[in-house]
Amino acid sequence: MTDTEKEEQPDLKKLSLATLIGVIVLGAVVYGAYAYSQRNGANIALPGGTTYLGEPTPGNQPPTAPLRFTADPNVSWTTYSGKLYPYSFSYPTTLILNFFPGDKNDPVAIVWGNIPAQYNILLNIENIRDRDASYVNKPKIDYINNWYKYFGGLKGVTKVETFTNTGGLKGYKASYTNTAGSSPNLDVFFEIPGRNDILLHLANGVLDPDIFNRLVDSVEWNAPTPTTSPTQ
Amino acid sequence: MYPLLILLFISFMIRLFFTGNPGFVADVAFWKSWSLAAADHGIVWTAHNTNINYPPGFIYVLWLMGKAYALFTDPHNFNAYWQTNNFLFLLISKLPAIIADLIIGYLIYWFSKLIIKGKNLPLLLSALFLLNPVVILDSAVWGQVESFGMLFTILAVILFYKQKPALAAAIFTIGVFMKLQNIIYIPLIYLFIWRYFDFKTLIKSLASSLLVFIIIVFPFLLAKDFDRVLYLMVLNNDYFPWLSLHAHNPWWIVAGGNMLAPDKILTIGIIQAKKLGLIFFSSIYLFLTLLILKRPSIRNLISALAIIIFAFFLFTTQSHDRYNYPVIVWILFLFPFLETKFLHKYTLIIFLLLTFAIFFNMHEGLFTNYPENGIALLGKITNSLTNNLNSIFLTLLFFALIPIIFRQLSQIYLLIPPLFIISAIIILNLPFYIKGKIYLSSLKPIYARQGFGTLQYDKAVNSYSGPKNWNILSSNYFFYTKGLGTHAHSEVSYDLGKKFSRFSTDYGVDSEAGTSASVTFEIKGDGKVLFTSSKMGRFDFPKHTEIDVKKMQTLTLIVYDAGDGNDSDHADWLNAILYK
Repeated sequence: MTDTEKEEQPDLKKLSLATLIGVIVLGAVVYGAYAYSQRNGANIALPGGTTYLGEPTPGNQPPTAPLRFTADPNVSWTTYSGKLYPYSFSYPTTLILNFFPGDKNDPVAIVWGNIPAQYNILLNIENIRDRDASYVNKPKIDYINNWYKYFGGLKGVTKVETFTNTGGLKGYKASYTNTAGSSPNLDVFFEIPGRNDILLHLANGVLDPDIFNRLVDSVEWNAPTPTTSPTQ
Repeated sequence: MYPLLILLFISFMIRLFFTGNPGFVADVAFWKSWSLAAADHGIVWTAHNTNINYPPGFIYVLWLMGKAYALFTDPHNFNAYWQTNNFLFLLISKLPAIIADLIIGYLIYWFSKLIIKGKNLPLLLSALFLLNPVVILDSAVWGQVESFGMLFTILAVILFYKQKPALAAAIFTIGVFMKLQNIIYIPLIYLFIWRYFDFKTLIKSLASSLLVFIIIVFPFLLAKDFDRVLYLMVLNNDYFPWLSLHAHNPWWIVAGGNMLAPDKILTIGIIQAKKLGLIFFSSIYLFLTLLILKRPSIRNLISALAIIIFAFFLFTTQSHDRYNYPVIVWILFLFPFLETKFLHKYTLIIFLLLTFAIFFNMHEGLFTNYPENGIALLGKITNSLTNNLNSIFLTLLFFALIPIIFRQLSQIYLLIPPLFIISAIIILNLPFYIKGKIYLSSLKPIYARQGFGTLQYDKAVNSYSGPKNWNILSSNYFFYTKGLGTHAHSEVSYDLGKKFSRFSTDYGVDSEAGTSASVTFEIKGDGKVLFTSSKMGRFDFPKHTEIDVKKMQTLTLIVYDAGDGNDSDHADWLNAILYK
């Protein structure tokens, strides 16, 4: 081998060292990226609209959960803010929430046991125009008294009470009779200042009454609306 | 070579780190849904059973994403899979764009070296791309695939340079079926092939494109489902019927920063915003077509691609915050061709300013929706004022980019876009101002909802299901050529812009409806009820009404189900006319 050929040969030591450093850096960066991804905690986000969410495999079914979600009084509470509309509310940090990016009704669901999140909606925007535009300019109590008519599983309204929460929002607590003749759930509607075409709707679902009441009381409607930008 | 390798390695590490950012959560959630569907059920099934709005070629990439994820863990573990911080999915879904980034970075270096002597400038150009915050934000942070879509067009341009037009056309075609924005380039690319090579080469290139097209859509052909391919390619027209989707362009200012502001508002005369945007865009397209026609060169092709994508971002409505991204990439490919030192310096300054403005724009889109995934400090100066200033700034930068083609075409040609715009505005408005009236069905509504099908223009509502079911409008066998075919409960709103005095229309149940149809019609102006019809059924003759709409901003046409459900309620607004 001539001197020139020697010079053209890559320095094996240097190459090995560079490779080693490269691998170490790569490992560190991947770990850093993983840690970075975990920094804001977990939320479940489902795509907006009607699309495929897969079918759970038998081994990975969420565990069957107790009927009611409750939280230890020492558990801290945090704030959830709407993605499309400027609402917010407090909830226990042990409750896992699911939002649906791009959904025009800006719903939030509870992830609980083996109940699919889309069947466990905690809060959504009621777009009155979508159900019956004639209620837009009528008192909201009329809409709430007739709300059950949009659902095949409900047959009447049991009672509706008005209230105002700590945030100053005027609300209605309504219970509806289902086709079996019972009224197991509580639905809460809030009027939105300056908007007669929408209501904020909450359903108690699996929440313990104390948790639900505290959550309802914390609901606020904040300043102007952020908007979401779907894909493409 | 070592400096380039080090640059590529550093660029890769930076991107790898940012894959941990959950990015634009909605987009990533869609990747999850569509890739899972593709991996579980295949390409054609995904096109039918998800809300995918990407071209069919991209479903192959989604299939790969889904399969790659399934190699490591079960995607059907609901709670783990759909977590916003599902790191494995973030990594896998962002990798195609990151790899495309690295390839483009290398291509900039390699291509520049073919044209200019020395290694420093190619390395600098490559670094300006690979370390560019816009590029990193799009692929590694946001989770979008702009660079992946662009890669195919870039390869095509390089292959044109290497005198391989048929292969270039084939690869370009793949790009069109990966990322829909590439569709904008189609006329320029094939015009270029004809002018730069010859007509025979154009035919060969079209043939190679056709072959690639058949290969890509083969699963659809096999399933006798070609309609779905067409559907996916045209689906995005009016998918987001808004002025601007956080794109900092003039429409964003008109929209007042409201992403949901409709793009069917009237602007100059009776020209709606969407059409006006297309007029501006077409004027630039015409100008660039002449550039390619008269001076076909690789340099001018790259210039044309840069300018046209910029014009698309700036002038058309429904533009997204990310659509301006390719401009900076094309500038880097153009750089080695620039003839003078002045042009080098000038273009570099434009490039840096564009980088700043596009980054601010894209970050605003991300930050507004997911502040936790953006830069808090930049978020503090992101508000309606800075957004509007950025919109103005980007518009000015567009015109500042034009000098790159000053020496390529006589400057007299610069008069073509304004002349085209003025002519189009006059031609489109003239019939209205001469005749003093316009058919409502020639305008598009700012809002339309109905209980069945979609709003039909000059056709009955059943026509929504395809050409085989197209029906002329008729009510109890009185036939009409103009009008709106709809279905109760229906609400259709038009922006009148206070430009009309009178509205006249016939109305009735369409002859195609079942015998149980029964509806009532209502007309509102600026939210106030102006007209309510009596209940009408299938065998009633159409009726007529006229409404005063002077100084009205919005006209709303409503069809109710007459209180007995909306079964068979096919209802028509017939011969609906707005008078000056």
